[in-house]
Amino acid sequence: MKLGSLALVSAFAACSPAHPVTLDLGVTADRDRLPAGFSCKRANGNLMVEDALSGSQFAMSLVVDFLDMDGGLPLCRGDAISTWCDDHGGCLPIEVPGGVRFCTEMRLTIDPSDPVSAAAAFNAALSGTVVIEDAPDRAVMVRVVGTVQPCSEVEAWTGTSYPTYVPAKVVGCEYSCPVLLDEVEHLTVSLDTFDQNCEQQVLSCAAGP
Amino acid sequence: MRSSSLLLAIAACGTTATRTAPLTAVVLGAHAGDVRAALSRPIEGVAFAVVTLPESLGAAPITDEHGDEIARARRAYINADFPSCRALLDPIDTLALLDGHREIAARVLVWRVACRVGEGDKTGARRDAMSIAVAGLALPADIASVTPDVELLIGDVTAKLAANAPVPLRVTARPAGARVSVDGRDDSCVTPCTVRLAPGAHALTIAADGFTPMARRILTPDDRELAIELVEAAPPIIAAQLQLRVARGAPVDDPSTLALAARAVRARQLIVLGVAGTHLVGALYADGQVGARGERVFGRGGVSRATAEVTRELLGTGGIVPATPLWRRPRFWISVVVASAITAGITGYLVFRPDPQSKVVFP
Repeated sequence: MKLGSLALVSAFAACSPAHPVTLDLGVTADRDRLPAGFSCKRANGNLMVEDALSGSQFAMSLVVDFLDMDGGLPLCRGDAISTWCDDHGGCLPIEVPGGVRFCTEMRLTIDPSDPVSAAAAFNAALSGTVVIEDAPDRAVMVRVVGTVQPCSEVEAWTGTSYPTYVPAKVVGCEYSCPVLLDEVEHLTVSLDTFDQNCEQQVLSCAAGP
Repeated sequence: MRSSSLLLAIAACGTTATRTAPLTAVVLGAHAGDVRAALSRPIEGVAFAVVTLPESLGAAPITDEHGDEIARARRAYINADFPSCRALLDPIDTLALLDGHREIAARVLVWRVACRVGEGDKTGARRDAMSIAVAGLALPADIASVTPDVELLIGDVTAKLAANAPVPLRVTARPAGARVSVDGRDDSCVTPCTVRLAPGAHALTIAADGFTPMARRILTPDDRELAIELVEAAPPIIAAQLQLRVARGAPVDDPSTLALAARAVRARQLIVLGVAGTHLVGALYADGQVGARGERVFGRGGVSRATAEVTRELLGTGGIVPATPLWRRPRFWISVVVASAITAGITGYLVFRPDPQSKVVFP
């Protein structure tokens, strides 16, 4: 009986279909400018992302988290997500298989005076990068955080959670709507803001809903 | 000990009672031979006495009745031997011919008119012409062989008759619901009813399934009412009526058809089987009640297999033999296996359904 069940499970498992999901940063289809969550300015008027820039050298860690929505799919508005997460365990990042969350250290040489080519280089550097081979099979919110902290400081599971980001080192953040990744093919992350004065939104995003 | 008792009980459930007297079976319609062959062996321990009904007697046989007299009268007319012509045709009862032989009656009457016109008997000629008009007979092809004044006379009489108002005749019969046929035409009405007739002599036939058809002659306007007491028909007549009824499209398992069949074969309990298109239809009739009905589409086994299946169903449903237990029916086990397989498949899918491996990539 056990052998039969095992065979049945194996048969189904062997048939697990591959399901690619593309993760798009920002809503700009033409990709000629930085995504909304990476275009915010600090109080001094400088772009947050400029913290990652040294001359023409751009160095930033890009981290992707899958925030646990506790089985629910609330609306995508900030207040709806905030209320939901307050009532459902805080929507903490899920420990991914292997324990190490996606983190890539981007090192680019760009022309600081040409944001169009900078954005293009940013996207080109990321293109085709696999975030995760088998995403969680539950309701999640995907969050992308840019920080000048090295990956080694943020990527490893501590046993109970992932390390929080140092606010002063966060340079950008975007998040998706709550979603079941097995049921979508494209996912866009962004940041709700009407202008570039959105440092607080970025920090809130990186700290968690 | 207990288990052996249980086995015996289960075995007893599967056995069928054997009926000593054969059960009467009536086979109607097409494929009767195949159905009869299938019933030649006992089914569920029941033997059958298959009754073969005569081929349909309802339709009037094709006949050359009075053809010889008409031919000889025609020759006499051509030879201007009008007395011989009349002598040949006058004895023929044309009113009797109307029931099923309207064309022959028309031929006889036309030649009678012609011979009387040739003989100079205008009164007699008008009387015979009136018979044609009253019965509404169509003129036969023979009209082309007589002198034009004969056709003129018939036309004149017909026109004058048409000017008279038709006379109502009230027809009643016991039992009610009998079919009334006037002058050999198809059913004119169903009793109790009133028919409107041209003044003159008419032949009426009153018929009902299960009763002997009655023929009556009436003379309008003298006769205004006709009351008929039908008498039960003998089995051969009922058998013929049954055949005719089915040939006209009545369902084999219709209660009236079954009642007629029971009376035709003088059986209190019988099964009736008949083919309707691609279906074999059957019914069990017992003590004036329809005990069971069954129907099968001809499958791969054809009529024989359908006959056996329908008969088995009739015997079981009608209580002639104990109904086949569910567990002895192959279809039951096929259904169980199929349903179990489907349930297992759905359950397996729900429990072990493959989880899509969602691979997240930057575009």
